[in-house]
Amino acid sequence: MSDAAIFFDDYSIFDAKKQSNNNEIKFSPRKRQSDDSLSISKINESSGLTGGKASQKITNILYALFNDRFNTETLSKEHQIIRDLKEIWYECKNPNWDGYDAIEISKKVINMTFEFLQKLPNYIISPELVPEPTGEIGMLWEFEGESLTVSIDSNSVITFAGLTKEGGEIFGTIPYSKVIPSRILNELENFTNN
Amino acid sequence: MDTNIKNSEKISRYIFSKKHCSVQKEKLKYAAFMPPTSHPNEISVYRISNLKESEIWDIGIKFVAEKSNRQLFGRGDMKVSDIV
Repeated sequence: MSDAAIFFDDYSIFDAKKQSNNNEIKFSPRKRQSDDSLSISKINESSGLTGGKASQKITNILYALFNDRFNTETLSKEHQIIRDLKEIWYECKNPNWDGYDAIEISKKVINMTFEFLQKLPNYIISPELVPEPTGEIGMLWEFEGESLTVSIDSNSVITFAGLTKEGGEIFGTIPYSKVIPSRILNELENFTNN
Repeated sequence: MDTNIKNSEKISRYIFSKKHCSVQKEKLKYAAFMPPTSHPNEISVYRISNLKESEIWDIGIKFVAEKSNRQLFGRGDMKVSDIV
């Protein structure tokens, strides 16, 4: 493994040259370049450390990264949500975070999404959290060809959309007033039961 | 370049947010294809048929990343027939 590869994200495990399947949208990560901010050489330069000290510092960082990732699996549901929301806040707090004129994710939207997730019954599995260019956070449930996305905007309106296994579509908007609407809860329960 | 776009043509969407990629599934998430509110009926994709891998990345860097001052994270490749 080259030095630059050590600081690849998980995404580096994929070969960017993989060809896509005919009918699928294939994701290809861009490999980090030598001028990227997280390369080993940059860390050495900025830390002012040389030789053994630099190596030790890098080892410590790698150890911390590994432990951080390892601990993710043991975090409670709530801690995991907080961690995901923090990541989204860090990445999407400024306009144009997606490179295509996205609206920033506001603290209000972060808080409302957190509040919504806290109110979900325990038997509902945790969704993936997906920042949307409209400034909302999508809560995405996916399971074997079925999917459901729920998001809350800053005006307290819930938007939901989903696909059933049979190819049916569900979608709509509902006002959010601090209680999870029964329609949403029913859809989530159907999803969980399938 | 031919302005007639065929269904079999390959196109690419450049990605700047890691939250828009599912690494395990090697797929893009739906939000990667949501248009901005400023242009609600448009998203940018790039024609990549017959281009070399390095040329495809160059387009993303020069015409998308540098213009928006963002670091290119990845891309999603698809056929025109996948979306029309």
